[in-house]
Amino acid sequence: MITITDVSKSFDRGRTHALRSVSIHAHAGEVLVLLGSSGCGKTTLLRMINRLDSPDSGEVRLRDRDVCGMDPVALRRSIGYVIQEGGLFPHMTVERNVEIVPRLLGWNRDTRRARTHEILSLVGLSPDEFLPRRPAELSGGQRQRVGIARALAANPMTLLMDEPFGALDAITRDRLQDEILSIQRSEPRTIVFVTHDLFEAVRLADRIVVLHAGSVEQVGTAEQLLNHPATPYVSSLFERATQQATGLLEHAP
Amino acid sequence: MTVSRFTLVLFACGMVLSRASGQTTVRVGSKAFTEQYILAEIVSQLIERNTDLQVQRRFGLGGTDLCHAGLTSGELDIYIEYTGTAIASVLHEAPGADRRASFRRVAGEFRRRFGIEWLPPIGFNNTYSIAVRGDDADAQGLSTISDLARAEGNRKAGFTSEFIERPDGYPGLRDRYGLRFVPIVDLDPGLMYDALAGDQVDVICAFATDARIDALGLRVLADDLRYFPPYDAAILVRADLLRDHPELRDVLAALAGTIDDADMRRLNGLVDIHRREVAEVAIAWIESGLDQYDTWGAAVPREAPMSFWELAVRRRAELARKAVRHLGLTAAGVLVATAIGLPLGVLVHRVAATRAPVLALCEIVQTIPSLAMLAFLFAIYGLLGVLPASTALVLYALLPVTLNTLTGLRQIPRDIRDAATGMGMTPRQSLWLVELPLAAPVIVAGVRAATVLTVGIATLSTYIGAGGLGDFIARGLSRNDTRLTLLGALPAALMAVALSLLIRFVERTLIRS
Ligand SMILES: Nc1ncnc2c1ncn2[C@@H]1O[C@H](COP(=O)(O)OP(=O)(O)O)[C@@H](O)[C@H]1O
Ligand SMILES: [Mg+2]
Repeated sequence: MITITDVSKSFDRGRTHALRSVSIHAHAGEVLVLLGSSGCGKTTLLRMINRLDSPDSGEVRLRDRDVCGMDPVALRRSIGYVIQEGGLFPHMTVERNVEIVPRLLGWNRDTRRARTHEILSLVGLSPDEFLPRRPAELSGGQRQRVGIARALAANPMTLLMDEPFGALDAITRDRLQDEILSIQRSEPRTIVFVTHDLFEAVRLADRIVVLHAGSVEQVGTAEQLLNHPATPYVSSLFERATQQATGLLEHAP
Repeated sequence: MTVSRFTLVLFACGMVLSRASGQTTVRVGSKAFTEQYILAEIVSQLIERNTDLQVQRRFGLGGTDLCHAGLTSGELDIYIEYTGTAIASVLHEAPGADRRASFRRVAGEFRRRFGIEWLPPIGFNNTYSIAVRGDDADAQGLSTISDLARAEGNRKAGFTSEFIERPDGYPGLRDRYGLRFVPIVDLDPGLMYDALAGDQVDVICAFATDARIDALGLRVLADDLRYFPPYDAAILVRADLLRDHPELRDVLAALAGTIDDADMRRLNGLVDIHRREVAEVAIAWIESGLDQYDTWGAAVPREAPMSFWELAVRRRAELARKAVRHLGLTAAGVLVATAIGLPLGVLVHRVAATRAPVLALCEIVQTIPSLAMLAFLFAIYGLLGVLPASTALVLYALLPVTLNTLTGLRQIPRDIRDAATGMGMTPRQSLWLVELPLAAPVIVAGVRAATVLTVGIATLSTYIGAGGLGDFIARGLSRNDTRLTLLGALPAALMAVALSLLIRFVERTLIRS
């Protein structure tokens, strides 16, 4: 459960307003998608939650505790974090990458081994084949699976995902979205998922937050946004998507 | 507590005193030119033959300042100095024209101010003189420096940097005679005679005792206005050593008045031109004197001169010792520089405010000329030898290591560092687990560059008595003996290549594991 209240953030001594008084709430076990075009402040908002950035004003609460009052290192170890391309450590094997948070938490070797095997299978990679490899020896999709495995290794209640599938081809992206949904069905977590892709948002989200130029335009289910857009920006978002889809159909043989 | 500390201090003083009075090793120094090596070797052998004292040879030091500071600090006991040099460079006075008055002046002042004794002069007067090519002198009718001042045409001068700088050198000469040379180039004292003979320059400041004047057909011009002050050579000894070992005075007095200008030129010629070993010349002089010169001197037909390889084989033990010392100096310099430069690189990466000042400081250190650096460090430590030499190496190696550490850390993509922090690593864990391993190839490349640099700079350690392959190079340069220079330079180059390959190999195995 994450509650963000009235958070503002500016960079370059106030010249760039990345976030303007943003308030959102993610229920426990929900997939909340932050949707918006590039530069609208999605990443900045996400990084407030694990304190990679701190707000100029406003408050971020995780399970009813102000994150600014928590030890940042312990906080981050309790939250899974996935970024584009996985952000894997290139000098470590898949095994070392996946077990990094359990290591930092001081788990013993056997527990770590068991968990890395389990979690790698969960994201659809054969442990025996992939644990000894290095990130450079993986495809983009495999790297992303390892990134998710690494984020889930220590069983966090909360998962932050920043455009994790942005660099993948459509088919791989599709498959990974399925994986996320199935993992979420078996072990529900609070997931905040950042994307600029409306279709991805609709597919994964319990609820969608539409961000535009640092402000929240609307929050709701995909259906609510489509049927009752609160602002012209939101309706234009769906209109454009509809046009694209119909355009595609017209050109189909 | 106080009492026991007091006793301790007394005890420590007692140890120092007893060691000082019980001194059994005499440290003999020399500057880095042939005549200094020969005389210092003669002095050393006389002491070894006639007393119970042991001799430590610290030859080839980089200048008057260093030798004088060596004596006053107690790092040296004996070396040979010249009256004119002492007056100008140590007492900072205007030199007089009278030989006896000059000697009395320096002897009195050194005894009073520094506790250093001047033994009676050896005999020769190694004054500066001005030399031109013989054919030039004949064509232009030059026999005095005044003739040169009046002569037609522009002449290019090659002087030692010391001669250009010191007030009793070129500046005074120019004013006295109204000379003008364009341009004036700085030349190594070992190279200027050949430079003159080979038409590279037209005028040089020759030393009166240099054998190459005759050998290369050069002509010394008479100092008709009596500008150049006397440079009588004499042995300088620390007064407390003479007090503790009065026998030294008699042993060394045997040299007084025994070698005149011509004798010294001959001795120098044996080494510089006939390629005799310094030790061999010293032994011959002690055992036979110059009366017997014809039986062992230049006139005697000699075996063909040794090739470089023969020389290398003949002196392989000495070569090995110097190479090991060179390697030790290099290793010490690079290891300490890495131990300092790596944390420094991390610091300037983490704390942006320190970056500009720290890097600027490292760069400034890098631009200090090596000999100036050695003299400066000697002034700080009051010590000759390995300590100041390796400190200089550390300072020079610091920039490449620090800079490469910074560069290596900066090239790590931002999202990798964010991932490390986002996973919950502390800054220290992020450094050790992620950043340093990823920066390692660039850091190792910096260490490799520092190593190659250090092998080169370590050849200058000879000028502060720290040994190494530079000993051969300095002696080779001072005698214009290419074989000796090569004997130092070639192994140094090989050492640089070998160390570079070794580090590359270590780097590869590191990356693979
Ligand atoms: N560290 C930073 N320094 C300066 N400007 C930044 C920084 N991080 C983000 N910004 C700016 O803040 C705005 C929002 O950025 P971001 O949150 O990364 O957008 P998004 O993830 O939606 O593409 C952009 O205009 C970006 O240029
Ligand atoms: Mg972003």
